[in-house]
Amino acid sequence: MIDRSRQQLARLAFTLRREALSMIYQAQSGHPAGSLGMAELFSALFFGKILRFDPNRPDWEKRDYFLLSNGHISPIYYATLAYAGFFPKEELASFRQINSRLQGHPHFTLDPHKRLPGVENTSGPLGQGLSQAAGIAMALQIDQRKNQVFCMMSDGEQQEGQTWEAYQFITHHKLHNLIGIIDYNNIQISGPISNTMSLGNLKLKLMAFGMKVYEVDAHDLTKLLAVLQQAKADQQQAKVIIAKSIPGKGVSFMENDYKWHGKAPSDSEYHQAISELAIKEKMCKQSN
Amino acid sequence: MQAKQLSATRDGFGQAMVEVGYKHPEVVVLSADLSESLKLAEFKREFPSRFIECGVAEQNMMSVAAGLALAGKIPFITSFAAFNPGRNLDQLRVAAYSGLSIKIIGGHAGLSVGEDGATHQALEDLAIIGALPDIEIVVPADSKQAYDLTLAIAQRQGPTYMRLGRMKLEPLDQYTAVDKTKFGHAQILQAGTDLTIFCCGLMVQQTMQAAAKLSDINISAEVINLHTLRPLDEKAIIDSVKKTKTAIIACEHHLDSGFNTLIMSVIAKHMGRELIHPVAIEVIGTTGFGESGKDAQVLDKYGLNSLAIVKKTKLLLAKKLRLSLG
Repeated sequence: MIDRSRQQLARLAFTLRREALSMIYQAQSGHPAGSLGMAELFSALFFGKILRFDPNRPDWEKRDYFLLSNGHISPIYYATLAYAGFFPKEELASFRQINSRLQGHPHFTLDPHKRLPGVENTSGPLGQGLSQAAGIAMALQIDQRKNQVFCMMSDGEQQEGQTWEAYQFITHHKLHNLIGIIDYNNIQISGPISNTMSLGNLKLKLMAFGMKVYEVDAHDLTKLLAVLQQAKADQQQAKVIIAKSIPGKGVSFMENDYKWHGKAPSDSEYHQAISELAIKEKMCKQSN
Repeated sequence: MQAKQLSATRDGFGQAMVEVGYKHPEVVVLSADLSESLKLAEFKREFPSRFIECGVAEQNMMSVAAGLALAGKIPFITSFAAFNPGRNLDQLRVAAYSGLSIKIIGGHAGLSVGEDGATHQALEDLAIIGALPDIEIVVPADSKQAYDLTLAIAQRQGPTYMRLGRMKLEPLDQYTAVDKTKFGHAQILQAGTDLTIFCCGLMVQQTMQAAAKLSDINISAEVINLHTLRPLDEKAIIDSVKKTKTAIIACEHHLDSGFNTLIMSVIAKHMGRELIHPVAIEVIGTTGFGESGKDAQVLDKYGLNSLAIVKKTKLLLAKKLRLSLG
């Protein structure tokens, strides 16, 4: 039963990949590598019973909060929200187009005409999401509410000083209702992280800041679900998950190539990518 | 005239926060290790769970405040204006883009943190905030006004910036029977016919002193305290310059941006519409960076005092004549 659901999540991850890539292709703008790399995580979070939410009540007061800090991977996020039922899938085609609710980077707004249901925060300028998540976690603690807060970040944004201000704040104020997730794919715009601005031993640094650190393969759904459940259950410490991913995962010529951080595919690249993803999606079905 | 007790705008803010705390249970206060300077000891004592110490980390503080607002709180984000918004503009910009109800309190603004010197003398904060859309801006001129405006901004939707100072000031009602402070409404402290002086913050008391000196030489100055810079009371500005055809604009801020430009753009906008004559203008503010010294010494050296206003009045009235407006 668990295995069957894991297969469904794996298949869905490829569906979301196709959607994300189509959005980027149609807009001829966007960020494929991180979007493709986080597909299993989004699948697990929203469809693997990790996050509590109700798409018909985006403001449901008992929901868990999911904040995206690395807003540039909005394609996979929007695709996930649409498949989770927050808004019609047809709207995905408006990504990065004029008059769209699907802005290049997610926009939280109180304006009901511009607000995209499911989006909890504005992000894009890197390094702010974890602090925003800490603010929500703090408000929940003040009000003695049980909801949990998840915040996805990139590895590149660990270079931002503010991120470390946030870890400091989280451990000092014992925000144990917050779970950070770092997409560790070791690329950023200019090249490999280790060449651009090395993070050193990220795990040790985080531990030195007082964080409990989990490490996991971002593409292994069984392990992902286990670690997310474990982190959710552990309310005794500040937590962060380092999810080791392959940027561009699922598309042979995009995998591990930093040049796909923020570039849209050409016609031929797109068609090749989509057919590769379709085959992998089908294989998930067969093994089901 | 009986001398009254001097008090800084930060004092009125700190007192008001206790009342705000009782009136609005969703209000929380964030501090970057400057709660004493912002007079928040009493709030902290009354509402310990709603006082959030952020340490010396202003960028995180701003985004934490955004998160608190996303979860239904009304955060008051407090530090020195040099760092708040000086250091956390990006974080503020993202929060303002979301339209969140956050209250940014920039303390120790202007030259009047004397001894600390230029690094701490925020002379650009109104320009920084003014460059962002949809943030309301208030600059109280005395402790009582800071109290009233603090209560007012606590119940307004959306982001607000309040500029506070450290220097102890005379209360406005020292000079005149002052109308009650009303958010968004200019405060006409003295009616006049020869020139208008637009001012805010500590320049208001300097202006009132200058107006008294001008009165002695039969020059009638209209004094308008613009404690709310956004939304700006455009009607009050235009009505006055229609009458006097002249304006001195005085603020403890860089001349090239902020208060001056806000008012001049209002005058320019209405020129050829409600305004069918030119307006002679002189400005008072700072150029370059400040320096250490006693408040009064620094303000005098940089021309932010009543004497400078009197001198500018002479230049202004000469301009007025040259433009055949007089």
